[in-house]
This record gives sequence, structure tokens and C-alpha cells, in this order.
Amino acid sequence: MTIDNLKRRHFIKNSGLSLGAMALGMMNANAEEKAHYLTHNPKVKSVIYLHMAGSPSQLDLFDPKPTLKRLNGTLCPKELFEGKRFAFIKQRPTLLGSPFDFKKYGECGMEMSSLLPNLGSVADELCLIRSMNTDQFNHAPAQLLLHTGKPQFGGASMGAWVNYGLGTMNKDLPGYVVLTSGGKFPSSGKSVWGSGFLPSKYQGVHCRSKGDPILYVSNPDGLNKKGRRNTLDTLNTLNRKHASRVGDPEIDSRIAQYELAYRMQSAVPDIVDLKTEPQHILDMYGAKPGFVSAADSAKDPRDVYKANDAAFANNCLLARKMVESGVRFVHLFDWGWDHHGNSKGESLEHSLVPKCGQIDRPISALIKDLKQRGLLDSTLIVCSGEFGRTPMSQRNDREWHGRDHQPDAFSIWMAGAGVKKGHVHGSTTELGNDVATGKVHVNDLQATILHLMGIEPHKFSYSFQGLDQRLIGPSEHPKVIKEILS
Amino acid sequence: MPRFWILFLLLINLEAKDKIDFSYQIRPILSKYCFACHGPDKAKGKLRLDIEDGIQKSTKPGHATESELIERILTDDEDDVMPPHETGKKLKKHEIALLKQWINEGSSFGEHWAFQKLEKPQVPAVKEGATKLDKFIVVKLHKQGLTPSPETSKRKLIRRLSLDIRGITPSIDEVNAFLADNSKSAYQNLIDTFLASPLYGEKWASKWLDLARYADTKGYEKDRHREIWRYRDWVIKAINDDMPFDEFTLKQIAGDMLPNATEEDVLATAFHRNTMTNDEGGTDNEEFRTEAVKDRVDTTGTIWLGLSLGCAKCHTHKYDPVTIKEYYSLYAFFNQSVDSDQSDDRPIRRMPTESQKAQLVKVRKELKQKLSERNKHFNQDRFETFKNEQLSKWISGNSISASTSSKVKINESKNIYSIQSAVDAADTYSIQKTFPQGEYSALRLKVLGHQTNAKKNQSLDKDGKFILSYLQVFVNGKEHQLKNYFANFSEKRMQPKTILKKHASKTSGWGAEKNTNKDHYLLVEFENSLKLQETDKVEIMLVQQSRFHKKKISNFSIELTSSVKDYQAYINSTKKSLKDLFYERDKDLKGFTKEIAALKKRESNNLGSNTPIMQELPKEKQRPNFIHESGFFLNIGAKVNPETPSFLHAMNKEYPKNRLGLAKWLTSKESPLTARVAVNRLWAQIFGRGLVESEEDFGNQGMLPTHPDLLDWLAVTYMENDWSQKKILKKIFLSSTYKQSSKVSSELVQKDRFNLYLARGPRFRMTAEMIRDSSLSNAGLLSSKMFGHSVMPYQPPGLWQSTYNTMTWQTSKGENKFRRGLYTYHKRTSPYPTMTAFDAPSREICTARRIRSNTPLQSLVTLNDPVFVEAAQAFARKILTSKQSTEDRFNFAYESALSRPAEPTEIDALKQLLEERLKYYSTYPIEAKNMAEKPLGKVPAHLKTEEAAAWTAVCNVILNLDEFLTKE
Repeated sequence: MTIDNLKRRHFIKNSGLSLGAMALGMMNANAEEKAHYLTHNPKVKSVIYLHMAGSPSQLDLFDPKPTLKRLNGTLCPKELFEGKRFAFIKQRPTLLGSPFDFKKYGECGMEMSSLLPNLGSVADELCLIRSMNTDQFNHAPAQLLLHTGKPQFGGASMGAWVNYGLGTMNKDLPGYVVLTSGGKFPSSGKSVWGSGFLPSKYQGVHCRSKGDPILYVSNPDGLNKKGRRNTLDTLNTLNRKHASRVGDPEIDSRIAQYELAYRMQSAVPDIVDLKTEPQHILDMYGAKPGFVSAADSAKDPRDVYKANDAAFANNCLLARKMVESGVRFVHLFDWGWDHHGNSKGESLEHSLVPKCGQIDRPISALIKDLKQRGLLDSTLIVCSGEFGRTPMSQRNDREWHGRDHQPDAFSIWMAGAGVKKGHVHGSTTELGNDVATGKVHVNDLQATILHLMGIEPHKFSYSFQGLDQRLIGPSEHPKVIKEILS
Repeated sequence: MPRFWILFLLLINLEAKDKIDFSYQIRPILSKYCFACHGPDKAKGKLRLDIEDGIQKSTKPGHATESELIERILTDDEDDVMPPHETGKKLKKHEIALLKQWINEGSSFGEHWAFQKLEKPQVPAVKEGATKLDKFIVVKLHKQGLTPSPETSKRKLIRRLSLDIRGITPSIDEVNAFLADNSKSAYQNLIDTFLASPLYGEKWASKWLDLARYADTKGYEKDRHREIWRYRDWVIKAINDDMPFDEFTLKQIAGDMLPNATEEDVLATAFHRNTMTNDEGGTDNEEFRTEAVKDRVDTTGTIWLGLSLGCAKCHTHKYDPVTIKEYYSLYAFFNQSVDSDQSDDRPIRRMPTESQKAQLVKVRKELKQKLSERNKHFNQDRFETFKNEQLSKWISGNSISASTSSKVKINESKNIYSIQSAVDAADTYSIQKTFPQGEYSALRLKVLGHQTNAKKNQSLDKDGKFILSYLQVFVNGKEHQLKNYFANFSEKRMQPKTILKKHASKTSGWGAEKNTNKDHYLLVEFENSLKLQETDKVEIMLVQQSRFHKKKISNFSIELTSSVKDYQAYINSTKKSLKDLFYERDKDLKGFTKEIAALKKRESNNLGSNTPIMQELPKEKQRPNFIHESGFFLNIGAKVNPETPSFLHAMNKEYPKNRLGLAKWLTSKESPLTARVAVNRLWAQIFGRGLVESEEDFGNQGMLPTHPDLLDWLAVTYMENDWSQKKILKKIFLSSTYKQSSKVSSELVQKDRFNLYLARGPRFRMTAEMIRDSSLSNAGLLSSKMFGHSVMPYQPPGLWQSTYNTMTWQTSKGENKFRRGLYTYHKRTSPYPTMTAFDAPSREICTARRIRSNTPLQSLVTLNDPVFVEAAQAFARKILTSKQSTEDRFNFAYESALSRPAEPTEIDALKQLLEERLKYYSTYPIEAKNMAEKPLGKVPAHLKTEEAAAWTAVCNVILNLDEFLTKE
């Protein structure tokens, strides 16, 4: 036990909060005094972060480039190639106009791809940022930078940070839940939802669609709920007896953990059970209770992607249920967005289309559903990849196409509490290779999310290895994107 | 924010009237509030408060209120106030009071405590305290008005000692033997026995492996398997052999550079090959090579110096006096190793283990015998005949002319054509030849590799490999169609299947294989054989038009044959020699084939596994060293040389400026940090918290030692005892501080909740490994097998989903399922969940401290994870088999798990559960079978299933008791 924990426990005892409340890491970092990093009236209570691992092409989905279309197939201007680092492109490539049409959606007239008609139907709820940039152009480091604030391993994920800073709002569920789809984990592995240097109780809890939703939440075969209750009663009796002998308050805490575990054993299966949702809600999302995706067992999931794969839809519906139950941070990772054009499964034509099909309806349903429940006023949805894609085609020797990684400019969108609706922020150059106006760095995005949650991003730190570690990194540059706040 | 809390405690505890100690009381305040801007990095307003000059500038000794330092803190002027508002930092009242008192006392200056020379302090002259170590503790306790706790019971003592040294609970027999031994030396003997056990090395290796970021995969996106378990075994052995810490250091950092380095010395250097390798497509190997080198600097800094050097890789350290130049000067020591983020992890070394070495001797002897026996039957004449049957006769003919479509010239000598220099544009070679009269069925293009080409064939260069788009053959101007084609080597995506003109494109063709310098052959058959006269002109066109590669074929020959009988055999000769084929087919020899193959297989199985190792670049290939501005590897700054940081002890001039010298410098007696950091780590394992809680940081921002004198005394004593870990541990175990009862009295809750002053013994939850190992050992399942490949105990399916990696978790069989926790396969992007639940790190980077947490997910593991359910089942069967009466059974269970008999009230509580469960399982036999047998297997015939099931529930409770999960 660290002093940190003890200190909090001391506070909790004196303040009359239950041990149970504390047991799941619910107490925030500075409970005994108004933490210096907290601000007034946070707009956002919960965050649903939708990460499209691999990074979808902004030029085919969110950032229309008529000039690029016109110059399709021509050699790219020298300045787009010379002196630049690319992951794969080695020779001066040709430009690739989007093979898909763009359309104006909503009253705001937001231009987005025809591949996302349902998302388009909620365009008036979206706050689209076309001027994102990052420092990293390989998947794992870029994902780490986006979610933990630094490109190396060892940092703490955004979800861990906010739970450390704010605590969860539900005592029977973890405060940070992770849901994955697409058949693979993101490139950076579990570190992207890890707690890094923060205590491990803040790490994301991976909620699975097959087997135990949370590891070991089921009792062993042969021990039903009542049997478990009886064993726990005996365990508690013996532990309490020992506590009276030894006097260590840590034992009380352990008893509380076992009780919380017991409550989780019923709360978790309940919340992941989609069968309790009415049919029209399931239809709205395209969710299918008990759905097992072929992608999970495929050698290369991209070979089996279908637009009607319900894994992501189920996760969106779960995210709503979690937020409804007071989970602070829900992190969705959907794999399969790395469209280089090397193979059919990696191409815009054959893979981006079904991938869009998988997410289009569920995401729009999530927004609508949160709205109709009044939860969109306190929930922030963020949707992004880890970087963007080049206006250049990565290779021209195939019948299909794709784009290389591009850190300099990409698009993300947000929706919900605290951000403008039907709004587009920033722009890119004519060919989309760089930001033209309103540049937003990924550290700025983190600062903005923290700000919306009632945390002053620059003051929010954790002391480790002699440094005040921060989600937004050590530099003073990151700033809240004021222009998008509502 | 534990750091501030300790600081605060210390501050109140040092009585305000005592003279202020700058290093302990003032420097931490300045570091926390001021150094970020007025420190080694920024020095805003040219003011550095970490050096004496700055202190003189900003204070007026004896006059606190007239000192700018105080004025700026207290001012109401928003523009002037320090620290500035936007930092969100504000000094506390007592901190300001301390600053004032310090200035009034003359604003003395002092070096940061941990950078001060390490000297052995006087042992406090107090009567109390059984050992010297205890006297340091007692003095502090007195100051706090606390008294030590009495010695704990012998039962608790042996349990504590066993867990601390061996990582598992003691057996009932061991406890009873210790209880029965009333000799004075009983406890001392017990320490010696435990320290001599091989289990000791396994227990203590875990901590080192966290530091060494040891794992079974390479990390990053693909996170593929890495064969490096031999290093883990090296660590266990070294700890068991009590290898002195300086030697332990030297071998891991520079074992390969030692004079007469043994295989084991080289193996030790795998320590710094535990850095990650990034196999993700499109990564720049140089970028991730430099990342790995930086990781080596950071890891070395954390482990030996207790410093977060990493901060200085982008800019000069904000808090500690490490400049960016000094960082890259340290980097320079590590920058000359051969490894370069290659997917095969080279350089690697294949090394047999001891038992494999013995096997090798045996196998090779047998093999030699067999081979000489076979040789006796070898018939040279028959071999010659065989050769003639197998090989085609290739005819070079005479060259008439050779030209290219570019300006480059082809030279011809002895039927080998060579190109003057590399050609960059598309090119077509035209070769005209004549051949002796005859009928020819095939053509062979031979592109010479490095081995046969002294001039180093450009066309097989690393980055520019040839691609032959297609080839054509004309006789007297008339084209002859080609059919079958075959190549011995080709690039994976450049197979010769498009070598005929009709299939050719700008992106197709036959390409050279990567990383192969051998001769490349392309064989093509003529659709109809060529009937040539001596005067017929044969023209061969080699068309190279691919968009992909610029280098062209530059050394080659062209030959014809009348018979392609060696089509397969000759081509295959790259894998199997003709002689091998003869051995297999000759009537007198083929009888040996199977046996010899089996022996060879045994030989190769015993050659040992490949372990990545450190290897220095030869002098002429060594890399120049530069600062990487902002930490970016392409942002090259000033040139640097290998140097150690100036604020630390100087490096002995006789030491070489390489890894070997660095290792010696790290463990030199003059180092103020190494021994302090190392001994603190040992202390933390035993007491649950280091004397410096921030084990990873002894710098200005680190926590202060609770017992600075004791830390220094231990550090010097450690060195005086030749860096023997066993000896220093024994001193700790013999202290009465260690032996105290860990009972927490209400007085202690009030006065020292965190046991900083050690008025009681340690009491804290065991590590992930200890919990697994102890549960299995109580169940009688724990395997005592040491070393070897990592193993895979139960893990739910579907947890491994690394991109571009199809590796799966294959549950180990037999005793490998029940090995100690440290042998569990560790995949960095998806570590074994039980380990993670109990705070084990992912081992992507060096971890100095596992922060203990207490979560419901841990409860779920020990309650429901099949590993622990199985342990409960086996424990139940063991109890039922060993004892007959219920009472005896409970006592047996308790004595085994907790090293003490059960109390009557405890027996009552357990009995109640047992009876309820017995009733339930007698009524529901299927449930009983599940509970008793899944996953352990069938209940033995002499036990009743319902009884085994009920006792499994009871054991599940016992193995979840706080007292079981805790070392107390």
C-alpha cells in the first residue's frame, strides 16, 4: 500500500465515505482538499472515445479536396515529397483523388463522404476538426502519443488520467472500460489503455464480447451465486477476526474489495447483456446480442470484413449503457483502418467501404440515443484515428488504391457536451497535405478534453521519476481549443 | 502525491528550533517550486537556485524579509509573484517559514543529499538496539516518542522469512522443525538454509527482471516472439551464486568486452537487448535503433544511479544537473553496438545450456562414428557415374558482341559479362553468341553473387537489387519461344513466373532475393529445342524496365545445355549437395541416411537457442556521436564523446571510454549513488517501502530518505562485504527491526500510520508471483523445475490480438502448467492478466517499483481464475488424504497456508461453510463434480466427490484470506 492510498483512506474515514466507494479507485487524487487542478462546472461527465485504429483517410471521409480529384494520377508536386519522411512511399508518387463523392449534410451543410450517410444525418450535432496534426507517423507511437500524451511506452492513458483525477461515478463498475472490435488490438497493445506510472487500479478494464466480459467475473462451475455468497461470508468473518487481531486497516479495505467484486459479478453481466434492450434500439444501432464476429478468429480479419458485422454496433450500444450507469470513460478501439492499398483488404475500394458500413449507423445511433435520453448534455464523444493519410497514392501497380501515413494533417470529430454543434474547425491546404488554418495538435485535443471534464490541463500532474508528468506532455504549448467550445 | 506527504512529515518532525539543513529541508522546496524555471535547464532571468551563486544573489543572509527570494513569494503584485500564477503552484505557510528561518540562519548552501560523497556514518551510541542496524532505527523512534514492537512469534517469523527469501510459504515440516529447534543459532541457521535454496534466486530475480524489462516478445505493433529466456536463467543463477553486485553489473553491461569473455559473460549482455524492436511496416530502423540506445541510457540511469536521465534527452534536465550534452555523452557509450532494430534481432548468439553441452558431446561422438562407418562404404567410381547422370553439361560458347541500350559498356572476359558501373535507367542488354553444333534444350542465366564475385556485385546490393523484367532468345534474328522457367533464389514478390515477354509489365519480373549474396540462376527451357550450327548467331535480350529498382544486373554469364536432367537436382543444390543426394541414393550408403539425419537433428536441437547479445562495432565502423536536439534523431546537434556527467564522481582515467569503462565507473566505490540505490531496492523488497520511497528517483525531485544515516551505513556495508547480496540481506534479517511483530496498535495508527519509522514489522500484500507460487505450493502442485523456455499456464482464449501476428497461447502440458510465476510467458502488449491484476508491469520499459494497489479485479482472480480454482481443488484433496478428522483437517490447512493451527472460532466458521456445502453437493452431484474436478481432473477413488467439492470451496476461502495473501 502506498502512502497515497493511506492518506486517502484516512480522509475517507474521517469524511464518512464508505470504504466501498474508495475501493474501486473512486476517490480522486486530492480528496482532502479541493484539488488545485479542478475547475468549476465541468460540462462533461463521461467520455466515449471512438478510436479507429490504423487511421481512416480524412481525404475520403471528412476533408473534400476537389483539386486533388482533378489532379488524380499526376505526379505529386515536389514539395509534397522532397525532404519529407514517409512510412512506405520511397519514390515520388502520384496524387490520388478520392474515388468517393462528398455531400453536404444537415442544416450546417457540413461536407462529408457519401460513405457516411447516417453520420451525415446527425451532422448538425458534430464538431468537425479538419486541422489536426501529430508528431508520429508509425501506428504504435502515434497511438501512444494520442492516448497517453507521449510516444513512448510507460505513460498513462487518458481514461486512467481522468479516473485518477475525478474518480468513477458508479461503485459497482470500473470507471474506465475498454471495448475492442475489428479482430485485432490497436498496434500499441494494452499500453494504450494502461495506467503507466499511475497506480494500476486506474487502468482500463477490457470488457470482452466472448467468454467472461471481465476476466474471472464468473464463478467456477459448481459454485452458484448463493454458494459464492456463503464462501464470501465465511471469508469476511475470518478476515474481520484477523483484522481485530492485527489492527491493520488494510484488511478492511481488502474486505471491501471482495464485496465490490461480488457486486461486480452481478452488475457486469447485467450491463453487457444486450438482450434487455428493446428491439427498436437494437435495430437503431444494428446491434445483435451474442454476435461473434468472424474477424475475431480470422488469420487476417480484413479478409472477412462485412458491412453488417455487428461487433462495433454492439460496442456502441454497450458504451451508451456504461455511460448511463456512470462509467467515466469508455474507450472503443476498432481495428482495420490502415488503408495502404497493398492488398485488397487494405484498400479504399474494398475495405474502407465495409468499414464505414460497420460504423456509420451505430455511431449515428449512439448520438441520437444519448440525445433522446438527455445524456448528450453531459457526454462527450470523440472519434479519431492516430494520424491522417497522404493525398498521394502509396502505389500504382494494383487495381485498388490506398494512402500512406500522414502526421501533418488529419480530421477528427467530436459531439456532445461542451462543443459546438454543426461546426467545422480549421482547414487544410488545397491538396490536404498540411494544415492551413486553426492547427490543433493532439496534445491540444487532450487539453480540451480535460478542460471540458473540469480539469485544468496544465496543472493536472502526477509526480513520477522526478517530473510532474502530465497527459498533455511536458511542454507549455498545448492549449485548449477555445474556438470549438460551446 | 506521496512525495509531498513524506516531505511534510519530515518537516514537522524536524523540530523547528533545530538548525535548518539545506539539503534536506530547503532544497526540496526550491526544487518543487523553483527549479523548473530557475534550474539547470531554463535559468530564467539568469537565476539558478540549484547552485550557490543563485542563492547568494537572491538572499541576504541573516535577513529573510530583505531577501528577494522571500519578497517575490510574498508580494501581492501579480506580475512579480513567484511562482507565477499560471503554474498553479503556491508555497505552503510552513514552507515559507522554513525558508525564512534558513535565510535568517545565514542561507547556507549544500549539495543535494544523494550526490554527496558516500561515507560510513557512526553507529549511534545508544544502549537499545540488538544490532548496529537497529540502533539507527531506535534513535529515530525515540525522537518520535515510539518504541519498537516485540519480536513476532516463531511461526510468523519463519513464514515471513520464507516469503522474503524464497517467495513461498514454508512447509508444515519446516515450521515444526524450526519450532523444535531451541538452539541459539536456530534462526541464523534458518536464514542460511533459505538463502542456500535455489528458490531464493527465483524469488529475487523477479524484481531484477522488472528492472531489466525482460519479456518474451519484442514489443510494439507486431510484438513477435523473442528468444531471450536464457538471460532470465542467467539472472537466477547469478543471484543464487551470490555474484557480487559489481560483477553482476559489469557482466550485464559489458560482458562481451571482458578479456577472455566466456559464453555466460556474453549471455549476460542480453540485459540491454531487452529493449524493444519495432517490426511495424514503414518504420525507420535507425529511429528505433536510437530509441533502443536511449532506453539503455535511461534504464542504466534508473537502475544504477536512481536518476531520471530520460528528461535530458530533449532538453537539459529541469531539476537535476544533467545537461542535454551530458545525456548524449552517456548515450555515446551505448551507441557503438551492432544491433539496429532488425526483425531477426541480430546480433544473436546460439549457446547451449550445460545439459545441452553434455548432450552435444555425446551426440557428436556418435555422429562421428556413424560418419566414418559410412565413409568406409563410399565408392568414388560410383559417385563419378552418379554425378554424370545428375548434371547437365553447360556450354558457354563464344561471345560475338555485347551491348546495352544505355551508354554503359559491357565487358566480356572468360564468358563472364560485367557492367562498368551501376546503371540507373531502364536498360536492355543484347548478347550475341555462337555455340558448337548441337541440339540445345535450355538456357541458363547466372548472376554472380558476392561470394563468387570479388568486386562485389552491384546488382545484389542491399538497397538496389536487379529485377529482370523479361528475356528473349533469337537465332539469326528469329525469336524462339521459351517455356518452363525456374530460379534458385527470388524475392518473395518477384518470382520468375512473368519472365516471358507476354506476361511482362513495369512492375513484374524476376528479382534478387534479399540478404543473399549467393549466385542466382535462372533456367529457361526452349519450347522447341535449338538445333544450332557453329555459324548460327544466338542473341539473348535481357530487358530491365522495372519501376521498382534502379540497379541492373552487372555480372553474369549465359550458357546452354542439351539436357536439363539436373533441372531440380542442380538448382536444389543450394540446399542439398550432390554428395548428399548420392548418400541418399547409393545402395551401400542409403542405409545410414535415417540414423545420421536423426543424429544431426539431435545435434542441432542441442545447439541451444538464439539469444540477442551486445556486440561492439569494429573500430572503423563506429558511429560518430551527436546531440539529438529536442530528442529527435534526425535533428543532429553538436558532436559529443563518451563522457560521464560532471556532477558525479570522475571516471578513472585508466578506464576505457566504452561500455566496459562505464560499467566500472558505475560500481566504483566513489559513486555516491550506486550503492545507495541498490541497497535501498533490497530494503524495499523486505519492508514494502524503500528508505527512499521513490526507488526510481534519487534526484532533486525524489523523496527524501526517512533514515539517511542508515541508508548510508547499509550502502557502505554492502560494498565492504564485496557487494554480497546474501550478506547484506542476512544483516537485515538478523536485525530486531525485521523480527518485530507487525501488529498495528492504535497508538501506531495515530503516530505513524505508514510505518515510516518502523516501530513494527512489515505487513503488506504479496507480489503477483508470490501469490501464485504460494497457492500452488500449498496445493502441492508447484513444479520445482528450474530454467528453460517460458511456459503458458491457463489463460482465457482471445486475449492475444496483436496486429500482423498469429501467435497463440498454447496452454503448457504437465508440470510446465505449474511452474513458478517468473517462468510465465510475458507478452508485452498483452501480459498475463493475473500478473497485471497484481501490479506487475508490462516490461516495455524499466520499472523500478510496482505500486501496490488493492482492487476487486484482484479478488476475482484469486476467487475464480482456473489456476486458483485448481489450486483449491488440489489443496482440498491433499487435506482430505492427509488427515481424517475435520478438526485435524482444518488445522492441517491452516498450518500449511498460514503456518499456524486454526483457532476454535475459525474452525467454527469454516465448519459451518463445510457443512452447508456438503449438504449442497450431496444433493447436486453434477455441481459437485464440476466444483471438484474442473479443471484438475477426476477425483481419486479413495475420496468422495461431494467431500472434495465442499473442501474445494473451503480451500478457495483459505487461499483468499487476507492473512494468506499478505506477508506479515
